[in-house]
Order: sequence, then C-alpha cells, then structure tokens
Amino acid sequence: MISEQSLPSESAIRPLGLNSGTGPHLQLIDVGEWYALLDPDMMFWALVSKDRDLTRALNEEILPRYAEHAEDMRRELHEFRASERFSAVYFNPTGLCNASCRYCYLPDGLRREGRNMSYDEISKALDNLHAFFESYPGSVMRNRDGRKPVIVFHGSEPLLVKDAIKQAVLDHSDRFVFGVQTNAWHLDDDTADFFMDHKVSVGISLDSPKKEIHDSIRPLRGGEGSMYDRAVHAIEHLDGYKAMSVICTISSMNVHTLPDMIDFLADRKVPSVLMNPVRGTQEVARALRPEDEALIPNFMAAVERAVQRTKEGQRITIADFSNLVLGIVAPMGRRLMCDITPCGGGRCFISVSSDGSIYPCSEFLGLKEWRSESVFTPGGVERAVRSPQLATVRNRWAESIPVCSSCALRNICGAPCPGEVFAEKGSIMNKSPYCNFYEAVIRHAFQLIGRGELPNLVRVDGYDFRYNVFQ
Amino acid sequence: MSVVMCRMECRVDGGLSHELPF
Repeated sequence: MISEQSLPSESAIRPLGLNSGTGPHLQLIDVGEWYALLDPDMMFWALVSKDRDLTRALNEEILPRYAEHAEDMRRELHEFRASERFSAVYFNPTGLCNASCRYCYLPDGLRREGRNMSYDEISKALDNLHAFFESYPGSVMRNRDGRKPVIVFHGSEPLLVKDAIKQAVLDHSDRFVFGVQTNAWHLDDDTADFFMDHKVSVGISLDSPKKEIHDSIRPLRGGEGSMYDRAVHAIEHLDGYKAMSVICTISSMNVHTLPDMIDFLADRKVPSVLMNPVRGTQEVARALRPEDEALIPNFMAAVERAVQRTKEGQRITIADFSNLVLGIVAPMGRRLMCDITPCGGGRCFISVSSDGSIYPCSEFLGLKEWRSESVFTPGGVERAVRSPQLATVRNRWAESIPVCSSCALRNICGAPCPGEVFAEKGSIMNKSPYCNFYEAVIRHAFQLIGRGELPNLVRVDGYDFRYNVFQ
Repeated sequence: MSVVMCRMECRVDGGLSHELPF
C-alpha cells in the first residue's frame, strides 16, 4: 500500500495548471527583450522581461490577474466578434474615376465607363439607409438614441459629382455624419471650406512625398496635370483640420519612402495617416506588392518616426498600426475592423456601388459574386444584410482558417482581407498574403508597449483602464 | 520594467475599414 506521504502533491502533478485541462492557456511568443504570454481567445496578455524569473512572474502577477478577469474578457471578446454592429456605409455615388491608379480594386472598365447616381437616387438611397439604421436590431447608430451613422462618399472618385454630395450633406446632416475619400483633383478650396464648415471628414490619397512617384502610381486619366500637386495643395489648405486623414497605399513603388512620408505629413499638420499594403484584389495589383524585406523595415521605421514626431509635439499616428495596438490593449475599442475576424464587412458596414448594389465591403466591388440587393428598393438593405453574400463574410472566423487557427496573434491581425484572398485563392478561408508582415508588426507593437510608448500611439484619455501593470 | 500587463475599455461604441482614438 502506498503511504499518503509518498504521493506527489497536486502542484507537482499540475504545476500552475498552465496549458492543460481547464487551466489557463497562455501561448509564449518571443518579442525582442520580452516574452509575451497570450491567450488569443480573450486577448489576455503579459510581457515578461527575459531576465525575470518566469515562474515567479506567473505565480505572483500574471495568473492571479488572469483568474480575476479571464472569464469576463473571454465573454466580451466573443460577443464583440459574434455580434452585428452596423454603423457605417461606403457609398459610391459614381462609378467613374479621373485617375488611373495601377492598383485599384475596381476593374478599369468600370472606372472608365461607370454611371453617376442622380441626386434623387442618392437621396432615395439615404432614406432607405436611414430606415435600416433606425429599425434593424444589429444597428448601433440610431438617431433616436442620439447617434448618427457614417456615410463615406467613396470611389471611384466621388467628387466627380461634388454638387450632389454637397446637396446630400445639406439635406441629410440631421440623420448622418459624412466623410469623403478623394484623390483631390476636384477638391477646390471652396469645396474644402464647405466640408470643414459642415464637419465632413476628408481623406486624401497620397502615396509618396515625391511627386514623380505619386504621379507614376496614380496618374490622371487621359489628361495633363499632376495629381500630386492637387493632393498636396488640398492637404495644405485643410491646414490641420482635425477630421483630415491621408491614405498611403504601400506598393513596391513607394515602400522606400514611408519614413520620409511621415515627416512630410507631420510638417503639414496631418493628424493621421493610413499606410495600407496594397490589396491584391485585382491581378495587376498583385504584381505591385512590396517584398517583406522592404516592407517590414520601412514600415517599422515609419512607426518610429511617427512616435518621434509625436514626442516632439507634432502628433501624427499611423492609424492601422495604432489600431493593431488597440487590438492588444483594448480589443473592443478598435475602430478599424479589418484586423479582427469576422471583419467589419457585412457586419459593421456595407458598401453601395454606383448602380445601387450592396456588397460586404468596397474591396468586393469588382467581384460580381458578392453583389446582393439594391439600396434603392424598400427593405433592400436589410435583405442585403441577411443575404448569403454578406453572411458568408460574417462567418469568416480565424479559428477556421488554416495556419491562423493555431496562431497566437489571430485576434490582433484578423488575416486581412477576405476580398483579396478570395480573388487570389478562390476562397475567403485563407490566411493573409501579408502574414509575415503582420507577425513582425505585431511583435513590434508589443515592444513599443513594453517601452511605455502607448500614449504616443493611442489617446489613452479616451479609455478607462481595467488594469495597468507596469513594474 | 520586468512585467507589463494592460487592458483598456472603450467608452464609445464606434465599424470602419482600412474624435479618433489614435
């Protein structure tokens, strides 16, 4: 018979309970001078210095915190990912574009021969969208709750119909807030002033601080003149307007100018820039993807430059990087919904094409399989939301995607973008073509958090801390 | 620093794609 004294203790059999049975599941990731311990299902994480006794850190600091918050955090993240949260519409009032960008996700024929919506069509569409936001259970922006959904006039080039857009702003501002994304060719000073007076957000497309690079990537269609000159003039005229942003699409042609782009924009008081690796939704764009060897170091250098300029007093953030940081420290506080699965397409926003058809996201506009109902018909928006096209995107969970399913970073990166991987691979259930890039960038984000740079990356005064351990 | 842990909660329910919190 075995004596009780000879039996091993429970702690010897199941030390810490870590990664077995019902114990805490924390994956270990190498992050520079730190180890990150991470449970992706709830986005609980801790950074532990490599010179620290890991067992003591787990016993004294990490696991007690985990035990206190884990179940609430797991439930919150699942609810956040599983729920519909409609708040925005990407609205293309015209299919035409006066630019001939090499990487556009819209087929060139559409941009050359597309149609314009009439003002009556725009107004009717906005009426139907208003009815949807007021009545649909998955809407989080109801006027009767004192909240307004966002309508973003998008492209093609929306300012080709700028008179109709201005009229829509005047007639519908009681129900929506508006934004415009433009190449700035038709953004004259009077129109820019109108947008600022009416608190319309303005996004300017600018790919490089160097004129010859921008004009080579984004040339004017069938005419003479510099897109770069118009874009830079618009940025300077907007003069630090707080609802201004810049979109910089990263390709092999401009990747080496990213760090200088930060200085160029900070000098012109641009508060925020999106630096998006080019989406390969169209085959021509895939040929322009930057190599990881160029993309990763140049993007990192741009992040560091933005942190430095912010510390020096000219705040500028790379919004998609800051959103990844939010995905780490405040998962439910992220604003951009491309870096979580299910993404925002067909769940938080929809896209309306110039013929009124509704798609999950602008990225799908060139992919006819993803076209659903018409915004012009009463009830069409709700039928679109319930359509197989939008429901399919809503059901794309990283846990069901090969490679992503076991990746500790799956709920920070989100494996973007379903439109892109569908166009390239024939199924949305594939990992991102920029997988290596996101791995490197997220590791860098953890390092910046460890360095104490969080206030230079997100506005922490907009959040409450559940806990903040920095010792 | 040897251990860093942080969790922030969002105060507003604000659905965008690729008063900002950045």
